Amino acid sequence: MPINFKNVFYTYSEKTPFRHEALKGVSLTINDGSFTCIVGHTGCGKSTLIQQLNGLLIPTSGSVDVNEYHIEKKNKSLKKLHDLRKEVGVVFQFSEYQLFEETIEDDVAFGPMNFGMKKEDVLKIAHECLKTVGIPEDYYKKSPFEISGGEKRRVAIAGILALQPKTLVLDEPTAGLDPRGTKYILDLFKKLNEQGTTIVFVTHDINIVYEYATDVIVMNEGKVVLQTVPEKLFAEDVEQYSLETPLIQKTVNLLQAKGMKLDVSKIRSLEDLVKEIAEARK
Amino acid sequence: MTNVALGRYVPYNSFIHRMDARNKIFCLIALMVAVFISYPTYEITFIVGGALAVFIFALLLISHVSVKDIFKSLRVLWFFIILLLVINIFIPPKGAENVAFSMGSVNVYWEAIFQSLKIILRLILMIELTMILTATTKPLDLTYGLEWYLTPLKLVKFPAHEVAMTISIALRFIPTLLDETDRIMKAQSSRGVDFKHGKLSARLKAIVSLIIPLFISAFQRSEELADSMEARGYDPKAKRTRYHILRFSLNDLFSFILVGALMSGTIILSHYQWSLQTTSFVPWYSLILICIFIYIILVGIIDAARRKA
Ligand SMILES: Nc1ncnc2c1ncn2[C@@H]1O[C@H](COP(=O)(O)OP(=O)(O)OP(=O)(O)O)[C@@H](O)[C@H]1O
Ligand SMILES: [Mg+2]
Repeated sequence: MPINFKNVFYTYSEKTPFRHEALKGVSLTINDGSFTCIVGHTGCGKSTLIQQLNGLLIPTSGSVDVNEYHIEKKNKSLKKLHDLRKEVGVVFQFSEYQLFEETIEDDVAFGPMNFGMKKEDVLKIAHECLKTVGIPEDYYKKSPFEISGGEKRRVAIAGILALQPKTLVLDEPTAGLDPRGTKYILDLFKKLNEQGTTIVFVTHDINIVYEYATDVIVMNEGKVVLQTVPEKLFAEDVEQYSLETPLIQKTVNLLQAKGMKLDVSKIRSLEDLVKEIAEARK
Repeated sequence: MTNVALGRYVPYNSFIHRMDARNKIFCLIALMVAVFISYPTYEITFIVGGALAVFIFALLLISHVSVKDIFKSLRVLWFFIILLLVINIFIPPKGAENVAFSMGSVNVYWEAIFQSLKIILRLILMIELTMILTATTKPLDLTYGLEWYLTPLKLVKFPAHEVAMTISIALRFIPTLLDETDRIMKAQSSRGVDFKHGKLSARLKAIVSLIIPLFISAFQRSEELADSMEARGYDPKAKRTRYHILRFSLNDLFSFILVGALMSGTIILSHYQWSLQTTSFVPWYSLILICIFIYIILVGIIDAARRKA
């Protein structure tokens, strides 16, 4: 079932002078099996939005439907939210600070064990997940506090992957990773997406949106300004939403200005561009 | 996760917010004395207690502290209150003779009930008072106020500034740590941790999953802070000027006199009956009061002199 936001408002610290309205009437749909990117400048409410997806924050007004769960202020039973969190895995911004176990494998196993799985089964899953995020085997018994920041991030991602969620929500998971690490992680999400996992991806990097997204949500000041598919978004002038033009699109535009005939609809990644250029020069 | 705002400074612009921090500290102590002093009879105790409760409740309203929040924080005290009642019932206070009712072979005395009520009233008033202070005073002003009271100790080489700085940094980081707690709790909740329900062992594990990351990040933060202070040449021994200067206004004078008078009044009342027979108590307490006033005036002079120098 798709995820549905109906006129969601969220206010932090209501009824105090710290009151801050972070979401102001958000309505949107996230389709099953999509790779939905959420973009928007700092402080526009992206992180607030995704915390509604697994009931960490409950809308001040309005409602959120995720699978068969109806999240609304009137209707909160914690037991159900606990189950929801197995279906919707959220990797937070700065997720590297959530590690606490003695070894990396235990930390990855921590999540599934909270949902009642046995330790032996969980360790197997943990090893698989660590492998998929690219953590070498001799790290499994290390302490999570003696590895680098980027490695911690990967372990944290593995910790959520181990829940085997149907929907995977990621809040800027690539911030601070090196280019190769970024590409590796992104391709991993793409593969999961192709295997049927819905991906919700918060990012500041418009190039990622261009290359990976099947749906885009543009936010500004607590509101959704635009929900569309990337083809439509990039056919328009994206700068009106204070977004940058993706590098590949810039290149295509330059080449087209020089008279090269390129089929824009086929170009999503650097490899596509190279192929198209080769095609055009034949 | 929302009740973490408890005891935090809340920036309204009330009369109490504008009061001088030093004066507020004095008033807090004076009112605490009034609350905790013992009165000769239960009648007087509850009349004075009631009057103080009304007065403090008015202060709460003036300072915009949410009464709802206070009752929320009192929920934790329920267990304590019941325990208190039980202890007082089974071990009645000395001189208890008026039986209220009997439960089987146990007599419940009025004195026992009054005694418990008295303690509960005091507790609630004490919590309300501290809450007013922390909700209306910026942590930094609070430490400046404390440092001011410690000024005379500087003469004997007591590191008053360092102590005040340490306290103010600690206070400054309370909201940060609360935010951090909230963030880590959310992250762990996403991994299926249930902080509110579950077996004892699961709850323990939940707390461990919160405490460890919290400590790690607190240590990291303090290290970063120390580095950045050093990088900017902080020297605790240096003479410094202050961006913010505490000012004693006319309003402060009024509240100072009012609360001072209130405290003196309760002290005298507390020994009203005794004073008919042994008048020697009144002068003693007056002497203490006079000492406090003299101390404050002295500190003011020393501080002014240091500032000029
Ligand atoms: N715990 C909180 N209490 C009060 N206000 C908050 C809290 N968390 C966020 N806000 C405010 O809500 C607004 C939206 O915050 P949010 O974290 O959702 O932004 P964001 O779009 O994720 O930004 P970024 O791109 O920097 O991560 C911000 O203005 C922020 O100041
Ligand atoms: Mg964010």
